[in-house]
Amino acid sequence: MDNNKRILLVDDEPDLTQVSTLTLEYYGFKVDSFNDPQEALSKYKPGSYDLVILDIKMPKMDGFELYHKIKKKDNNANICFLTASELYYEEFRKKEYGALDRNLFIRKPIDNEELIKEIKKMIKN
Amino acid sequence: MSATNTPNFNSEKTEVVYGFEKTTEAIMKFLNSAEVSMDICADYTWPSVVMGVEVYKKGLYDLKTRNVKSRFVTDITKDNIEYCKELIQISELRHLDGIKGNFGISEKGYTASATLQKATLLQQVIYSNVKAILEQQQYVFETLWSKAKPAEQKIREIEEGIDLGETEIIQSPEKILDLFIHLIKSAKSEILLMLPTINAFLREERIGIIELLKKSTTENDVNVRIITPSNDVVEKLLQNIESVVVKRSQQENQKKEKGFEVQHSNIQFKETAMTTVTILVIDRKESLVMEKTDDSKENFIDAIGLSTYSNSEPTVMSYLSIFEGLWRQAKLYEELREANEQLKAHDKMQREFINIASHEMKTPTQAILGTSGLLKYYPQREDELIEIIQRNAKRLQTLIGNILDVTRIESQTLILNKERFDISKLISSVIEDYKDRTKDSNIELVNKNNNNSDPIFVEADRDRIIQVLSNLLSNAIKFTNQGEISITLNEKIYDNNEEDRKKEVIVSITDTGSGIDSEIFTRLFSKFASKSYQGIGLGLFICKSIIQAHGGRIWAENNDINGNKSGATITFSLPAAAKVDGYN
Repeated sequence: MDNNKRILLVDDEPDLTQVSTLTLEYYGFKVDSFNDPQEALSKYKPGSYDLVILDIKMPKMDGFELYHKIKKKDNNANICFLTASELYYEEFRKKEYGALDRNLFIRKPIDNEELIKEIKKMIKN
Repeated sequence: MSATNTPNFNSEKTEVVYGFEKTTEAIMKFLNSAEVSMDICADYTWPSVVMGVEVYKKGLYDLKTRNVKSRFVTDITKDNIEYCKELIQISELRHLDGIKGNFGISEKGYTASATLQKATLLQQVIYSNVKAILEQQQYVFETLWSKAKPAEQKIREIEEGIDLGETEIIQSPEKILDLFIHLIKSAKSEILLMLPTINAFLREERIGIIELLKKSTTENDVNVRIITPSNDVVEKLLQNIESVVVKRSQQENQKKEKGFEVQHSNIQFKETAMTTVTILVIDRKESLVMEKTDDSKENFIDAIGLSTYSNSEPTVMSYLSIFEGLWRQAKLYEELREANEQLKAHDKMQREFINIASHEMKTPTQAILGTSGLLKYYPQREDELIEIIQRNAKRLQTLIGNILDVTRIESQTLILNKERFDISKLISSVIEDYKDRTKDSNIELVNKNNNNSDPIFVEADRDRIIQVLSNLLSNAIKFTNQGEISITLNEKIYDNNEEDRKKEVIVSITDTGSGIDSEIFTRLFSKFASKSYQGIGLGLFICKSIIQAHGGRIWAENNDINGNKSGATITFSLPAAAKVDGYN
């Protein structure tokens, strides 16, 4: 059922992109992953993903900035955040990205089945 | 009135006598002729003249011998008090503040002298035996006598330090301004100034008072303290002055406390007299309290109301204690504000810590949780997955260890298990371990101590020293993409005293990485100082605490002082172990 769904994953932790990629692939998603947000942005092809999953706390460019840069390239992009930061996410989101929907955030740690459930929800929406 | 050389006491006349000899002769005749009474009124120099010049002194004592009833009025001061005590032996003596006239009346005659000089003979004397003058002058004397206070009381006041001084109300704004400036200029040791409002400060700045205060400090070494409400403008004006004063006291090098202090009081003196008065206290001897009538006026003269000058000790001391009380209050307020700010900063740091710590804990937890869930889907990749789990479990372990260490350090329960060991050997083994870990990278680890095989003993907690070395090496590796990381080990004598030669061991770790960011340099060894996206910024704080607990020091340098990215060196020292037979 999800065989044709494509996902872009950006997280600066190689272990996390690897684990998430394996999980998603097991459930039939096609995954592109990057540890460097700048590389992810420069290689981004509009319309080629059903869902983009971004970490927030990353060096060089944080997830919020990447969100807006991808949106500029591809206004229809379906983007969500997968983050382990609490205060960072709370305060920063409120201050600068208040317009972002709270439901766009998936909180780490999360087990694989829950993660898949959340992702399927995001793709339906 | 005619001037003759010899006064004639038989008929009514008034004469002026000149010259030492003649005046002395006239005075003595006047004194010796009295048989019933002798009333003398004279200024503060008179006691020294009559007691200091032998002939006059004898004349006065003779009055007593002849049982002439005498009464003297003079201005008793600290300077003439000893002469006055002698005068009490001869006559009834009273004190009158600031008395200026010099005259004497007996039942026979009247003499007056315009000028008196301390302990010298009189140069010019007026003599009269005209009855009308005698009567009239007797009234003058009686008036003064009735207003004067007994000498015993005044002497006691002076000797016990009770100087009632004078208190004067001044109404003319121009006079107040003159006095204000005069008082500041006259200060010898201390000026205290309390201003009620910011406008008052600005008005006084405009007429040059603040500049005068600066001068008093820099030129006359007067200690100046000001209590003033402040805003940005006041702050800026004060900063200019303080920088000048501080610079000067630095030039004159050291010790002397800063002579110019300001309490920027944020105290609101609501609905008290303090909102309307400026208080000036000079040398703890004089005070000037100036009321303001209209604080909105720009000009000092227009804004000033009644003022009270005083040099009376109780009054001045009262204002002094008001000033000191407010000074303490302002100081406490300032300390409280600082403490509150520190608390806030601490609170912010704690929240930041929780934020970073939770992120750092959740990341490996996510990896472990996700990877272990994958084991059942990918049994064929078990080895690879277990390696991820182990790596992240170790990361968690390190993090938890660090957090516990910080807790131990901060609660001062870090316990060292000291033993004697060869730090040279320890360094070699740590390097071997790290060589293994960096074998696939572009980094070469170099032990610059290899050639020297002499053992170097320290008495330290081996595990903690390994922890420090590992931490420093990991940091060096983290910030070095390629190049060399070297460790050097030296022994130095730091106390070159023959009896007590102390040795210390110096360990340096030098990398060729990106160097230490200037933004972080000054707080490098404090908590949460991290330039890395992986790491919580506790490592160097823990290293510093461990080294300090051993009695050593730790410091950092960039290899290129111009800030070119040619790596950094972190060095720590440990006291060398005491000499033991067979070692060292």
